[in-house]
Amino acid sequence: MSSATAALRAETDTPSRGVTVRKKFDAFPYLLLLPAVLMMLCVNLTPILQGFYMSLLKLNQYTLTQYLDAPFVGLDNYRRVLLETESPIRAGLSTALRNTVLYTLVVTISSIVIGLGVALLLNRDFPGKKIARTLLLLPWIVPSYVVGTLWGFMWQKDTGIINVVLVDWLHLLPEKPFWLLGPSTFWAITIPTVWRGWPVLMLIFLAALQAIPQDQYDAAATDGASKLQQFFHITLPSLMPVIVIQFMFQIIDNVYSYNIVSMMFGNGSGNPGEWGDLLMPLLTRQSFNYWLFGQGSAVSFVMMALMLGFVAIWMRTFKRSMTADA
Amino acid sequence: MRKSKSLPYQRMLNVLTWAIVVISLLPIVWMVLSSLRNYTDIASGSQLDAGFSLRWQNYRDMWVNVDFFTYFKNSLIICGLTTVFATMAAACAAYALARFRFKGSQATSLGISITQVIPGMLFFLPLYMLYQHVGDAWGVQMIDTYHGLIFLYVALFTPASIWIMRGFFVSIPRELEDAAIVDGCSRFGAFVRIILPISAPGIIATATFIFLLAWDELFFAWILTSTSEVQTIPVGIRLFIGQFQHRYDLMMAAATVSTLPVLVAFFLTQRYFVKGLAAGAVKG
Amino acid sequence: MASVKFKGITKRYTEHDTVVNQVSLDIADGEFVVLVGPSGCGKSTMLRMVAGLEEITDGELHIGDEVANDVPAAKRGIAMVFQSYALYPHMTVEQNMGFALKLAKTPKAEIARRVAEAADILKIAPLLKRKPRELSGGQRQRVAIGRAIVRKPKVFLFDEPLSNLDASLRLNMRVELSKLHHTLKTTMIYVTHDQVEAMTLADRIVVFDSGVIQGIGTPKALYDNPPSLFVAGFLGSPSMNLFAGHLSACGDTEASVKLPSGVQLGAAVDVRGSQIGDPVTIGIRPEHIRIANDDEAGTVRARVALIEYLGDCVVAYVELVGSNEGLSIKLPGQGTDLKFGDEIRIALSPRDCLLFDRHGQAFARHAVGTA
Repeated sequence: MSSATAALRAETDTPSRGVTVRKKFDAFPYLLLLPAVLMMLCVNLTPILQGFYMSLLKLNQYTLTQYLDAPFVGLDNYRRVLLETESPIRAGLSTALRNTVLYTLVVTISSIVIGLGVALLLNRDFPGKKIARTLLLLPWIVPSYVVGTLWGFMWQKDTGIINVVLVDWLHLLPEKPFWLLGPSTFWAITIPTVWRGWPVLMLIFLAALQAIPQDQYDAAATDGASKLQQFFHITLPSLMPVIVIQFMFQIIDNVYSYNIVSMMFGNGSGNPGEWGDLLMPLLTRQSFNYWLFGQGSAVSFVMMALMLGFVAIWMRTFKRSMTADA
Repeated sequence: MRKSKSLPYQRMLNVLTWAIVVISLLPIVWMVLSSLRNYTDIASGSQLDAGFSLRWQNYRDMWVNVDFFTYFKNSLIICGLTTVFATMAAACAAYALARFRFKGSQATSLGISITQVIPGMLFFLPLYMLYQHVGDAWGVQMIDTYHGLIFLYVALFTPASIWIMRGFFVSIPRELEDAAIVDGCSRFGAFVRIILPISAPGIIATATFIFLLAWDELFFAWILTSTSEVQTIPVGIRLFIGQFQHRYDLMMAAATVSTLPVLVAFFLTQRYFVKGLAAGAVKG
Repeated sequence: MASVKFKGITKRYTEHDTVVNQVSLDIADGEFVVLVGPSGCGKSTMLRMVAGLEEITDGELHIGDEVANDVPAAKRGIAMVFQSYALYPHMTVEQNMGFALKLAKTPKAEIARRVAEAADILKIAPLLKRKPRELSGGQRQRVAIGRAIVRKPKVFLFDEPLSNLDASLRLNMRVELSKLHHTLKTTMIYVTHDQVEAMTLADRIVVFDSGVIQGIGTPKALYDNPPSLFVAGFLGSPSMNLFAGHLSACGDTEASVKLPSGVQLGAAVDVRGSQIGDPVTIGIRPEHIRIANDDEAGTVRARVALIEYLGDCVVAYVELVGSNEGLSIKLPGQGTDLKFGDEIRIALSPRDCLLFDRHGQAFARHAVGTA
């Protein structure tokens, strides 16, 4: 009916011959965006493209000044890095890879579990709640290189406070172990990272917990659900999107971990050893020590592909729960 | 939230909570304590039992032995300027993404997300060479300069900040800008005079966040600087550790002093910061 | 003071999304015109085009003597009151009201004077130093209006200003707005979805649906003689009873309509040009249906399904016996004695019935309806 009326109107009204506003190009949002985008292009995109090209070149201390005119070697760098065991970069790559994977998993899962647990603990009213929350956040404020230095000091075999507490005071261990050498280095880097990492997660989970409407719990209580059932059927599902996203962010952050490892070992520049080496420290160390810029770029590129793949798979798998509404 | 439970249960939870707080803070406490001890005490392995006296002199020694003042100054300048520029760039970009539909907004959002997955750190080699090249070919020195580092930092930290700020802007009703335009503001005027003041808490939170990130940055500070004129605190500490291997007391003093500025920044803004971080993060 | 003219105004977002379609409308200087219609009908978009907050895709807009299409919002001489008031939270009431003048570089003394003047009219003088968050909804609304008054605009624009207020406050503010119009005598364009607001406030009502004008007229004219089915159903509460049927007889003074259930009703309208069998819609307002005595001729049997007692009146929902067609009847509160299940006879006088053709256009009525 209304379309008929509209047709009627259209016929009877004199078509206007006045000014038709032409669709102007609106530059305003683009101008606002310009500084940020320009910077991203310079610092993010250009190096990626450049890096890809560099990974196809033979770049070392002799050819460095030739920059992008260095000799083209195609996929040779990739071959050396992935297959040729004499390459210094390749040498440490498998252990660094193993360490990084384990480290990332352990740190991420621990941080999330502890963060969630403490968030649940804080999700109630008690005197000094705000102070407690602020104090708990402090480890995150401490710069990561300070964390590396501090814990490097604390992990000292003979003079470090940790061994003193474990052996001399609490008698939990018979003798003082090496923390900065051997397999224990894995724990030497993992524990400080968790220590520094869980507070932020706690904060985020706490906010998410407080966003769950009390009504849902009330309704469940009248339906006869126990506290535990309420946790599994209301709390956890509501938190799932947040947990999934934070899990992904944590993994990404931890894969690129560098500061703590680099400050903890060998007085700031040393080799963390077989169990403490991670991908980024390895990459930087070997690249700059041996001037293998072409191979280093190849590794960067492989890492990028892996990370993008990971994110893509993660998003696809959890897309449903990430976009689900409470 | 759970309804009130029995009092002893609550008490137990309180004890547990505060125990966690204390344990969590122990390393920090230890850091400060150690910074005030005699280094021979530390080296000998004796702990607090050996007659405890505060050795404030360690701090003076540290500043004297190491060119700490220069490092501190550099860090303040670089991180401060980074915060200012990054906040401005991020605010403008976030506003554009929050309020306008335009071609390329999706792509830009995607690009920003990707920079988090492929951080600048991953392609440090090309970046280093790019900087080198700019210096060699165009005469604009980027390595070992303030502006080189600041530009990099701003570029690195702006994308993450855009996300956070976008969340704040989206939550402001559009009618406020309409009213401002009807009142006679230009669109940019409405942004600056109305939206920014209203989002002040969010902007402060983001600025603090950027400052924290910048202060924490070691990697590029290390590879892009070679003289102490430009080097920042993290680099200074790293060099220092190599030099004074067993002066843990001085090391801890340096560590403590390095932590102070961000600690202060945090406490000053924590009201906004905690709220902002939580809100921004929950919205994803 | 200015008139506002819409000439073939169209607003299109994409090829398939036309929100306002070739609308032409003349609003006289000093008139209070209400644009009313359901959500999404385009009325707010119309208002925003006048304000300069939306670009006009096609057509000409005149404010006063000039073509306003490309004139920036601030220079059009309009002031707008928003649904959510849109007060600047970081400024005091005084600063809110003076903001536009400050942007126009008006001298401080002048700003203070005008703000005080407006504050007096709206009785918000004691609130000047407060911030919006300290005010109640009604107070905020007044400040929003005050902000508009201060600018001494040629046209006031109101975008559903009362929707966010609770019922009793809404009533008071409605009266205040009417008084304001009498005092200021400025042209006012008011958008709402509430037909009661439209009926009570407007000099003229413009009923919108789907981007097109369904009817323009004074409240009385539109109520008594709605030009279209949409307007007929939109104005009035409870809404007009409408039945689809077919023309069964076309007389000189009266047309007969046969409903699917077989019931025959008559309407005193001019059906020249139509034929027997044409689909039509017949309507009658609830207050025009009369309870008849059992032995009267020409009445219809019905059964009471629901009674609503409102104090001053009673609304009875009845079902016609033999079909499931329902009617609402409005009866006086005193003296009506009906209850659920009662069987009654109702009379629908042809002089009170309206008839609409297959396109929803009203047939002209013969008799003068209600005086």
